[in-house]
Order: sequence, then structure tokens, then C-alpha cells
Amino acid sequence: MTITPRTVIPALLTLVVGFSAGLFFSVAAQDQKVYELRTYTATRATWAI
Amino acid sequence: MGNLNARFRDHTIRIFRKHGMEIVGFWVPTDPELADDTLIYVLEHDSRAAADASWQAFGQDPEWREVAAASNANGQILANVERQYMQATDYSPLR
Repeated sequence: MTITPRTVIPALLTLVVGFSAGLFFSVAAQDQKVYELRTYTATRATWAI
Repeated sequence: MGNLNARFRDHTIRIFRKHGMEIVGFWVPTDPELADDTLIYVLEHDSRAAADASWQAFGQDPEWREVAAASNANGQILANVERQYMQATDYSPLR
């Protein structure tokens, strides 16, 4: 393949778009909230406050 | 169970918020046998690391330590705690 601007520019655009998409989705995944489910079992102890 | 509810209502929720712990909600089971002694709640954190940091700060909070000590003065009011961290699926309304 002959390296010319007509071949290099599309390749570079693909690289930039792909990198940007990867960066976006990795950041989006990191921005996802974490939820914490907690189940408490109480005793029959009483308290004064 | 009333003791646990009172502790959350009067103290714990406020201290949670002080340490960046967002409250999604509190529930009790509809099963009568479980409703007497089971409390379920969900917290929202920015990340697992944020959750760990919040819990560490919460546990070291002098106000919380005083509340916990007072609430347990006549015996532990908690018999068991279970915890599960979760992330919403891609089809969840939470996302």
C-alpha cells in the first residue's frame, strides 16, 4: 500500500474516533454509582437515648 | 426494632449525610415474622472507594461512637449485619 495523505488521514481518523470512544465508555463505566444493600437484624435489647 | 428505627431516625441518617453517604431508602419486610427484627436500607456511593472512605470516616466519627455506645448500653441492639455492593444494570431505571 502506498502511504499518501488519502490513506493516512482516514486511518488517523479511525484511530482518534476509536480511542475517543474507548475513553468515553471507560469513563462512563467509572462514573457509575455503587449501591450498598444493608440488612440489619435487631435484637430485643433496649436502650435509653 | 423500635430502638434501631429510633437510632436511624434520630442520629444515624444525619451522620451518614455528614460523611457523604446518600440514602436511597429504608424498608422492612412485609413478612410478619421478619418485620419485627429486620431493617433493610440502600445507600448510594460515587464508587466503591468512596464507600470505603465514607464508612471509615463514619466509624471514626466521635458523634457516631457516642450514639452507638449509648444505644448499646443495655445490650447490643444489632444481632447481624449483611452487606452487598451493587451496580445498576444497563436496563435499570437507575442508570
